[in-house]
Amino acid sequence: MSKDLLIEIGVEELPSSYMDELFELLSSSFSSFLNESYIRRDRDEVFLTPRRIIFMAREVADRQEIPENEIKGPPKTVALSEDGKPTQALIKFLERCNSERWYIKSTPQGEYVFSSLKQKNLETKEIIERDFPHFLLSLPYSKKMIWEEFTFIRPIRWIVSLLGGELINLNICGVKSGRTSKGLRGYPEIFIENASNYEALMEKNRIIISRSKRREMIRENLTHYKESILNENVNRSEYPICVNGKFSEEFLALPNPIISAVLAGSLKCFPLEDENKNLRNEFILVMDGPRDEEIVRKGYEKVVTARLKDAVYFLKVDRKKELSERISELSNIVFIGNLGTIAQKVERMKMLAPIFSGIVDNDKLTMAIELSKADLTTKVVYEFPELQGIMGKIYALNEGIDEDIANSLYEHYLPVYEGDPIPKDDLSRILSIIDKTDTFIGILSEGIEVTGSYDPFGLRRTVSGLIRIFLSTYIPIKLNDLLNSSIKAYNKINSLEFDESFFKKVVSFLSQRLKNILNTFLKYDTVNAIINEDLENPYILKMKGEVIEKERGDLSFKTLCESHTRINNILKGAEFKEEFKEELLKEKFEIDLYKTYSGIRDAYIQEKDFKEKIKILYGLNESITAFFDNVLVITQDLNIRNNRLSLLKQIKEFFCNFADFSKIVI
Amino acid sequence: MYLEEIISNLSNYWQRLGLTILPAYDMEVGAGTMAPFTFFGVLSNKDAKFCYVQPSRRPTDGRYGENPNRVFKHHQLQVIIKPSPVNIQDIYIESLASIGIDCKVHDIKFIEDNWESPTLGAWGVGWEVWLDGMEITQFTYFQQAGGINLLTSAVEITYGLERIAMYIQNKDSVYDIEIGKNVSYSDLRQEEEIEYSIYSLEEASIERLIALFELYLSEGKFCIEKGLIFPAFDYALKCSHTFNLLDSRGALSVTERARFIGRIRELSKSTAELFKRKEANE
Repeated sequence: MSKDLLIEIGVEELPSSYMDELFELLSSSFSSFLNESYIRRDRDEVFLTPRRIIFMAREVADRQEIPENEIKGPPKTVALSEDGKPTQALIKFLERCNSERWYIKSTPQGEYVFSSLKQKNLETKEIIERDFPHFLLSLPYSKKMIWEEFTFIRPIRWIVSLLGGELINLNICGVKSGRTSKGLRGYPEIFIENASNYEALMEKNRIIISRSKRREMIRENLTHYKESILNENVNRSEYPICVNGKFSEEFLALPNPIISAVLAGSLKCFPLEDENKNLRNEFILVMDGPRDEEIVRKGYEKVVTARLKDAVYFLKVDRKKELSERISELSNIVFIGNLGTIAQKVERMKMLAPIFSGIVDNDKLTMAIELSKADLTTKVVYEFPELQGIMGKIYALNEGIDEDIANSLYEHYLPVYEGDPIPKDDLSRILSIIDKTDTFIGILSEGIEVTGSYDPFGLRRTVSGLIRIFLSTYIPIKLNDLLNSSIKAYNKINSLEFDESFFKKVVSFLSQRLKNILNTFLKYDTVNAIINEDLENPYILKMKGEVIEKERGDLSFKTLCESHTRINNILKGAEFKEEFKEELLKEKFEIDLYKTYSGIRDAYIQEKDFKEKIKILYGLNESITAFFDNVLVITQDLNIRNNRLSLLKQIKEFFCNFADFSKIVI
Repeated sequence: MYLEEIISNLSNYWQRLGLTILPAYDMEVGAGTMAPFTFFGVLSNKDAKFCYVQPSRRPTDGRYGENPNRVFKHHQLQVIIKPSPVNIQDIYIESLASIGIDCKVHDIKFIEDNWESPTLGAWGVGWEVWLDGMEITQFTYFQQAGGINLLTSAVEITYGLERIAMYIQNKDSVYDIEIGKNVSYSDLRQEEEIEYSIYSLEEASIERLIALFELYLSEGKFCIEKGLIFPAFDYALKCSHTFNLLDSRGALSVTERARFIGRIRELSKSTAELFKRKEANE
């Protein structure tokens, strides 16, 4: 008879910010735990509420089912004596397997003795009692604490663990398991008779263990919402109930982003909008469990009103000082780690401006750089850091600063996340590039090794944003110049010393991110073909890549790739001195090849459109094929051999201006 | 319910549970945690069970008696228990009933909020407790004090008394709080707030405060040399308050700030280490 397994770990409130990560960790680990314990079940699930970590497995077998394991023993010649009697080696082997059975099987290495390891199948209950506590406590939680003398994510206060209707005896962090779970605060305890009706029973007691159900309970009250706020509320409640709140209309005079920040900030309330997407003086709050709605609403409204009043005051104080007067105060704000202050960051950013002269008005750019961080000293941004940039723009417009510059103060923070828009104009894009490059070089110089989950300053995000801007528009600069200038700026402003290897690290980090992004819309072999050691402008790479994708089915393109590969192959094994002399060309087809090549070279360089460029390259296909069919490259005459190889090498390098076509998988 | 009743009800509640009610520590501190009852209480191998009201000064929060929520000096009711009882959350929720807050009708949430005091080299894991969206309590399990990892964690519960009184009395401004019959917060505190704000935000002599800081720090180190833990800790507190004043005067650059904090932390650490050494020899 199979039963359901339930283990509910009651805890003091889990950090809501940690729930998503914890859910992933527990779900996969719990499955592996059951697999490794050979416990068969229909399915297993993990549920999380702020106060519960719940492990469930449906239709669990009573006993574990360890498969018999075939074990290879000694070779037959060793296991058996000449007269066919078991040797000491065989006896020892069987002892190790806890078995008397053995048989001979032939393997590619010859005939061997085999046996099967027999293990005792324990009861599921026994296994859980023996192994679950260690499993639970030994997972790599990134948030942990000590209480009394125990360590876990947060203090464990009760445990319910049942297999069907039978109690499983657990003792974890001084807490013994039982059948009694806790209700919502202020509500009675819940007695669990059988694991199988746990979920329904909890729901009856107004505890929704499933996060997706809680999510739906909130979402159905909303017409639009920010995902992060919704998620936070799901992770903060066991039985979410939406309640409408109001604040005085006079506060609608505040800029909308400030109102949203007050509501969404730590309170995680949902702002409401009218048909024109303007905020209304209403919001939705989420309370946990049925409470006195009137009391709760009034409480929240009071807090919201007090904070809006604060915001009005902060705005008034902020407006007494212009952004330009705030620049000097940036020396009181630390940038990151040991990278000095924001004032120093602005100084470094100014040093990158000349690279973009000719693309945007330099005076405008310099002013935008100077003002770009000034709003960090305002009271509103101090209270609501997420409004950085937004307040800069609002204050700048209020002061009558040039609209392009005002916009750039906000836009240059974009894009932060994937899917964020790219800054709208050249000024904002360039300000963003300068800002992100400075941050990129700075973080990398701190020597932080970014790994899968460890990226404390969002380095990957910064660099991805940087690349996405370059991909969006052609900004005619050399990336090498930009990176080198940024490194020089750190050297000059922060007296940091860099060696050669640092630049390599910068390039390799950038290339890796670039490759990842290109791979999202280009085939992997296209990406391999266009990327090389020199950092090319990502926009050029994109254009090349798109042309290649379009041409892939074309016969000329295939021939081009084959030609490139043939040239590579012949150059690979050859050692030769690179020196080309036209007068050493003897045969018709090599003269032809050279003539075609010299004929198209200039045209290729002058052509700006990559669709046309590749067509020019196709012009070489015929001559190359004819060359390989008719000319013997590896001749006895070393001078001639040298000459021919040198010609091929030139052509190969010429191809590589566009791409390494040999890397295309036809 | 008057503020004085809130204080006595909460104190009585904790006293009935076996906590000792102490007078406030008689020095300027930034938070109830800085009182030696707590600092040495959590470090010690002995059990600790104390409750006290601690006036706390935050010079940067001075608002000339005008802001309805922010004040130079506010009051915390501080509860410290070691080892932490297994049902401490329930006990805390129950304490709210003593001041008329029924958890069944209110939305009470425990929101992650870890606490750190860089000058004390102390930090803890915990929550701020929300009552219908308002933070009324800080709930912390100490993890480290004076740079020393704690083997047995103490739980600290800090009630923000002004916040709670405003809520219970339904006031929009801290100055409207009724402390007792016919005694309002503004009667007793507003002048004080105005003067302290003027002092800490405008008038305090930076030069003399820096000199005082250096004197306090030397005296503290001197006490350490003499093996005098409690006097040394007092000077760490004096340094901390002087630093806060300098900070509110905007006298310290970022790097200087970090350096000042580091020097106070060194003194707190020495004090904690000396305390542990003495305890080990007892």
